[in-house]
Amino acid sequence: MKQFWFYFKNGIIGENPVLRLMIGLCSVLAVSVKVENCLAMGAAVIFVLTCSSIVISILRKGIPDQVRIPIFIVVISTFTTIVDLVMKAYLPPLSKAMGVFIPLIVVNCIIMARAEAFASRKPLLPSIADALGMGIGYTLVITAIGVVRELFGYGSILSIPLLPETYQNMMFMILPPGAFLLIGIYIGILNHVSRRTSK
Amino acid sequence: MKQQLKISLTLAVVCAIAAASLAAVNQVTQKAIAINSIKELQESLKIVYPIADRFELEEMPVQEVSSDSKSHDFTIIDQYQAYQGDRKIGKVYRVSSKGYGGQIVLLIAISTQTNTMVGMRVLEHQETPGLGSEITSSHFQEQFHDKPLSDSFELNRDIQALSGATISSRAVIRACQGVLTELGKEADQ
Repeated sequence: MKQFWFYFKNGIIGENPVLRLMIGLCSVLAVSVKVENCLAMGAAVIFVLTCSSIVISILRKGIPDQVRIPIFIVVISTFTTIVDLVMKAYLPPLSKAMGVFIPLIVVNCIIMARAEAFASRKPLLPSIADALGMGIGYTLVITAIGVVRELFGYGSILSIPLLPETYQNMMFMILPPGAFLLIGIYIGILNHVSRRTSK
Repeated sequence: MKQQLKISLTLAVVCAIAAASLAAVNQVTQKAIAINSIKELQESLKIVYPIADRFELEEMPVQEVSSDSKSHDFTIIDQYQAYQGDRKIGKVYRVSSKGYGGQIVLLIAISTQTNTMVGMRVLEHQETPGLGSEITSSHFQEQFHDKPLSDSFELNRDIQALSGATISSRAVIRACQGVLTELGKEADQ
């Protein structure tokens, strides 16, 4: 159980996929304009990551080494397509806002990397811990970026207006440079804090 | 040999299971997705033409793709007959026009009774957020509200372009002019 928490925390802080491993940045840039989209994207990533890690971890002894990548891709894309279809059927406005980024979870390197580096080598329980940690780590960062971008870019959070009417929206925050800068700032903060605490 | 057989068999089994589970999910969601897309289209038709209570898809006359329409980057996707009760009151065109970031899909409603454009609504676009995306704003779309078809539909003459988004504004104007030409053609027939 101690091991479970170790891997879980590792994904959130120690090896945060966005701020430490620097993977899956494309979807972070594109989706993080609104908090609502961030939460949906995070949920989709957590679901796909956890399910595919479970399946790959169970199958890991039966998967021949030569075809492991095709099998990972088949498993990941199956779960991604399930998420895409379910969202289209029951959450149409959200699915429209996310556009192509839900299908693109298939090629999100967070999931591929965790399948290759972790789930295909470790037993079931650590794999679940790792997947949940990584997924939540991704969601936390993308939401933290989304909160700032939506607040300054649209003057609202979760589409609830917070800033006065006279506030001039910062276009810069909605466009990709805003996300790049925020990611940079967050990486700086995380490094600063972790350096302080390790001393 | 045995090794190769094992590899291909494993891959085949994994693919088969994946295909089966996707088929099952598709079976469940297919209906809801189809209903959603129909509902969504009907709702936007209703917004663009509020006084109509029924819309019917009209069979499109088979058009030869002229080089002319290509050079203007404009296509009519489909068209709907608008009814109020049993009376035909107008038409709604779903058209696509090339904008700054990609195709802009919009609905243009025409009243054949008063010869006015009832309204315009952007369904899909990939224009720059904050600049071109303003084509979806009400102050831009209102310019097309109840506009006589005899107007010129020219940028900065009777339609105010969006600052910083001339290409996006022009794409919308192009779509309007395209619909007007199409109406002219239909009237001639």
